[in-house]
Amino acid sequence: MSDPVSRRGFLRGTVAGTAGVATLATVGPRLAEAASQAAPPTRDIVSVACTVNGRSQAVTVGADEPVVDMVRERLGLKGTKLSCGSGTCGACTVLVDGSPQCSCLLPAVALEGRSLTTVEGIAPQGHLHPVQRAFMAKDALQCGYCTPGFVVEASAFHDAWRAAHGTQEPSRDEVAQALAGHLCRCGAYEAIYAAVQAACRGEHDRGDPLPPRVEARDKVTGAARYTVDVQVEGMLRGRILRSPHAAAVLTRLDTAAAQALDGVSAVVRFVDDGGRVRYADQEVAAVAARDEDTARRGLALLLPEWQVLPHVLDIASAQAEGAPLVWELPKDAPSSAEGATLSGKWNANVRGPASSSILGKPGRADKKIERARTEGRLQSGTFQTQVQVHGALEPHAVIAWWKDAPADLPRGELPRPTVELWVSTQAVHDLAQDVAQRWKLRQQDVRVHAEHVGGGFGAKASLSMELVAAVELSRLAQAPVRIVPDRAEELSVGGNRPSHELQVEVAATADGALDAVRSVAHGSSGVAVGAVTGMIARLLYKSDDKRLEDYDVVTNTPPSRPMRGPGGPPAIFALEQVVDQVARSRGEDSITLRRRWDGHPGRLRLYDWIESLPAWAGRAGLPREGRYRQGVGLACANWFVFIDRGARVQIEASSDGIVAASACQDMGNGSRTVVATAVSEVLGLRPTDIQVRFGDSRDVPGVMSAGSRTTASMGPAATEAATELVEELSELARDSLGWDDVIAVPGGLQHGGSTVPWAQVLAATGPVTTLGRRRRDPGGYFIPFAPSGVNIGKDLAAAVQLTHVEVDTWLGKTRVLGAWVGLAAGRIRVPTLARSQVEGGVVQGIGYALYEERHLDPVTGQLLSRNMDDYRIPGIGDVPPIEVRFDDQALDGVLDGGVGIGEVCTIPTAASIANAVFDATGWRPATLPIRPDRVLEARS
Amino acid sequence: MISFPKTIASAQAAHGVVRAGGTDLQERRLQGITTGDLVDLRDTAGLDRLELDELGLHLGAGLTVQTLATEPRILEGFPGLAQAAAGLATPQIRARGTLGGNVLQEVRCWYYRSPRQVCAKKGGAVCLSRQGDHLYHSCFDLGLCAAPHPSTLALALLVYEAEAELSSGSRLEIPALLGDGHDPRQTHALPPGELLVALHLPPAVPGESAAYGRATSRAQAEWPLVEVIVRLWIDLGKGRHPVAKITDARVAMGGVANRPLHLPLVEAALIGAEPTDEVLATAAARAAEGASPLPMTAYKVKLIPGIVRDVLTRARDAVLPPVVELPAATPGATPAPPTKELR
Repeated sequence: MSDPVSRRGFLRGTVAGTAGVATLATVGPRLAEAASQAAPPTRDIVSVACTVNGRSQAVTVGADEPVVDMVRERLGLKGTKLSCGSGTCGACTVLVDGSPQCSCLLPAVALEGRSLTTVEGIAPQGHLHPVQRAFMAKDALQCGYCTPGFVVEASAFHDAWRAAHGTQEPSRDEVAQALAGHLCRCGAYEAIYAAVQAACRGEHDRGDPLPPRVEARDKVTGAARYTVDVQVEGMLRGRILRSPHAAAVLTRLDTAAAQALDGVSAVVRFVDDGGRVRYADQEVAAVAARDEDTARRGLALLLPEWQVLPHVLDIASAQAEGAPLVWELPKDAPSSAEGATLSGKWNANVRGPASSSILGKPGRADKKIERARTEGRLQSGTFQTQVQVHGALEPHAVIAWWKDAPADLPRGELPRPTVELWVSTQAVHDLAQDVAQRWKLRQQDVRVHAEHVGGGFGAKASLSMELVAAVELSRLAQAPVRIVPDRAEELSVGGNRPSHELQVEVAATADGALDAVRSVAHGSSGVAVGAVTGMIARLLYKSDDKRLEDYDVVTNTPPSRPMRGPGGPPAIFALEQVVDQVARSRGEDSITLRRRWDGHPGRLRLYDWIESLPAWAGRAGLPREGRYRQGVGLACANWFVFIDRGARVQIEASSDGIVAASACQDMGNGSRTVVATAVSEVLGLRPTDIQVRFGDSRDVPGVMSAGSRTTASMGPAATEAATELVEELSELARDSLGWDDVIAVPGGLQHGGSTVPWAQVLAATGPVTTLGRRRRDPGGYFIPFAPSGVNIGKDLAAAVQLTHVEVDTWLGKTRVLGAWVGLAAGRIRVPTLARSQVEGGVVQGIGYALYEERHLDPVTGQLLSRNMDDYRIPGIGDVPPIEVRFDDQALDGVLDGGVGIGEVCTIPTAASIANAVFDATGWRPATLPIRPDRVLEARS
Repeated sequence: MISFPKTIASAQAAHGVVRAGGTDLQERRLQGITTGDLVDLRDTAGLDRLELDELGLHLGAGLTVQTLATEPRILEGFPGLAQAAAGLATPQIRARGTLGGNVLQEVRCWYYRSPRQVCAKKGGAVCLSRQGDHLYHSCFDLGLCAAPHPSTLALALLVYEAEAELSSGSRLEIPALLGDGHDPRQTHALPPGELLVALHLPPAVPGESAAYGRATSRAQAEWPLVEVIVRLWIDLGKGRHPVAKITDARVAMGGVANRPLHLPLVEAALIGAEPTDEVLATAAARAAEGASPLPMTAYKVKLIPGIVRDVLTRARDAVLPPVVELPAATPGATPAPPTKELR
């Protein structure tokens, strides 16, 4: 039986919930010496005289202190970001005497006598560099965390380029080489190319652009504040002690020495003596201290003793006869799923099958498949997909401030603690509720802030252990505690997409109709369960005759979290390759067969577009011999429509401005702009005229940035709030101001022959507040109730991707030369931002298909791919021109006529690339990623 | 403790870990792999020599990688070195990292770089990668440590027959500087108490065509699976039907062993031969001879002929461009890249 489903299903069952805080070791808080400032690092032994952004500075720094720390902590310049800490991602890039360098590795002492320029200094105060204008104009950013680094680098490139070449456009290759030291996990590369090229063409030397993304200016100037940038007075630093073993009993943990260290304020533990750990890097204890250095030293004084146990790390060994059990009591296994976990039976480390053949006929599918096999109408394949890591550039940073009720409470008042949190979260509203529930607080006593979020992709939707640690430490210390995981921690426990082994069989009738499908998958969400692929396989090619089964195989590895289109990329990687085989076996091309099987009207129109492309029409002429072989591949996917009718938007309008507020957040997916656009359209203003206030749980409920639901949920609520505002102002104008013949027009109220702008109307009426709700969709829903508070729409969002690849047979290297992605999701609310989302999804899909792979040491289970050199995400040079087409015929049953695209756009990418590799080489990649060694092995 | 010696002599006498650019060292120090006092060469004079004379090219160990990639005299006379410098790391790293630091950097092995794992290089008993994940490790098993040598510039200096000048004045050839790998703790064999001060290359040999290349999974900014550097001298021949001939060749390979490998078998297959595709392919295949792959690195043995052939071909094509027969134009034969929508 699955765990009881709480409002968000997985919360109660997550490792964070289950592990709980085993013993609040009452390590007494040190006498509350609130450290007054951002505590500087110890060993301040070198003074450095340099110029920073044109100003002379004399700074005292540590011998190993990197420039990024000096700039951010001592000088308070938060625009420069720390992300990978290994000189790989470029987010920390600064200019030293005009030359871009990574400040995470650059010792501050090296700045002696030099000039340093950060993002804050590449243009004079209040002005913008052409590159900044270009980035804004072309939407060359999403979450914005990598943006300052890119902007600094590109500004240096631009200035040198213009001096040497005038307004000649640099090629894509030239731009790629200049930006080779930068990574963007959101995948904004296409737009970055466009921005740098446009700036070099001289198109942004002047002006003050209104960007398509309303907060773009803050992001390109480094003014946007992320959780890592927040300073709270008296903030302590926390660090987490993690298990070095994949499976072990903590026989003893002595915290006395750590508690006694001067500067340590609190120690908590999460595992009792005698308690179990089940994956390497699992949280064992945590320390809060006055500064990072003391916290690390305190951590080093925690001396755990272990009884190491045997472990299993992968699907095969976890299933082997006699394999050690990950969970002695399988019901303790937490869920990693977004919603409810499908039920399933346990057998050692395996749980299942969980069936996705709801209302289908799996038994009939079996019979059809066997008959097809004997009649030679069956295609099949076995596929393996790897663990993919979310890898958002901003880590899971958190600051927690637990305040017990003051001693001098008025008589009769119950002492109630309050908790204030700054968290890099994609669920401001829901998280505040979860925190209240977990610590048994009132809603109004919890406040969550997340003004800007540096990426999430599903990893930041739930209450995770670093937040638990920060809260518990803060409670003990009665001071704010900040925890910022480093890159190795992020790549280990920061979230992952499960690995899978899938066996897929697809039968066609003699006439080429879909006969039956069988997909049996084993997936590992680490110690958790909930790795489902069948649900997504069910969405494509309508038929009752499908057996879709998933087995969870638990392993001693970190629990998965939902990752952009959970279950989708692996399910489609397998299914769409077998469908490709069916088409080939019948001598048909991929589109001809799919037109028969695919009922989605929007995608049927997109097939027309694909067929019109030269890449498709000319595919027969591609070189398929010799060193470089080219091919094209097609794949499709559908995704659910989720609507959260809890969405609320409140408008506070006054003569000072129009503020649209909601406890929502923007992690780069553009939700601020959606709300601003919706409101501005009603009022006849520009989106940038609307001030959007996000990221505070005190505001009216917003929706989670997950499940591709945010735009479709928030947009109509914003529209309603704005419509109410117009009505109320019109009424006030008529009744209170006595204006005759008042008509609402774009920009204001018309009366007496002239238009009075909204600001002036509000000056006359006084401030007005309205609330918009997310009403019911006219077309209704798939089921009458809303699981976990989310309605499931009747429509499906549809994607189709055509990819052109080149395989270098000498080096085993696969290169994507072009990608064409069609989306049918109804009316697209903000096309420019939606296109950025799609491009980003394709980039993540390229990473999944070709490069990304988590590596664990087989002997200890510890993470080996601990940095961004070893965990390989696409760089700008890996991204081909991507063309995005929206079939935006409105979906009449949905308010606003459109649904989300953030996930469906990434799901078919790997399958499309795999089909293209087969087209190029005749070899079908059954295992992801499609690494050079695998291509070379296949050829021999 | 940190010191800023002003002279090479005082740097040599100072106690601690030497820091130049810090692009490798700082990652290790911030992770706790390398600890101790610091000898920072920020103010040390005499490390940035760049001279070309009748004895050859003289490069101070403190020159940045970027300088090696862009200095006209190096591009002109030592093109393989310039290409190797331009082809490593990222622009930001090249702007800061030094010649000496690149040659003396530590391995990239993920066991070595993991604070919790005590491998043989860190004084442990065994090379942990061997029983673990060694996918990116050596395929010429020449010593206990299975990590490939990380330095692209060491590879280039090897093929340019450079000599290292140490602070004591003594000189070492590159193989002696790097050592034979018998002690897993030593990624290089710089004697204790010595500083690497300069690298000296013999004079340029006119007519050189060089190329550097590496096999990776992504387009840029990735540590090589295999890297190769080639120097060729080709006599284009005379007369109405000239027949070209390779008059000399120097080839070396990295990413495959605990030190860069000179490839005399490949050179022997090239020298005196006409630089046809077949000759280059046959020569390239010899680069894999003697390989002793680990269980997970057999693919590198398959990769070697491809990447060696690729780099040989580029070095050859630079002076002897291939004759290309243009096929009759067929509409739609070559699909156009996606049209760039106006952003």
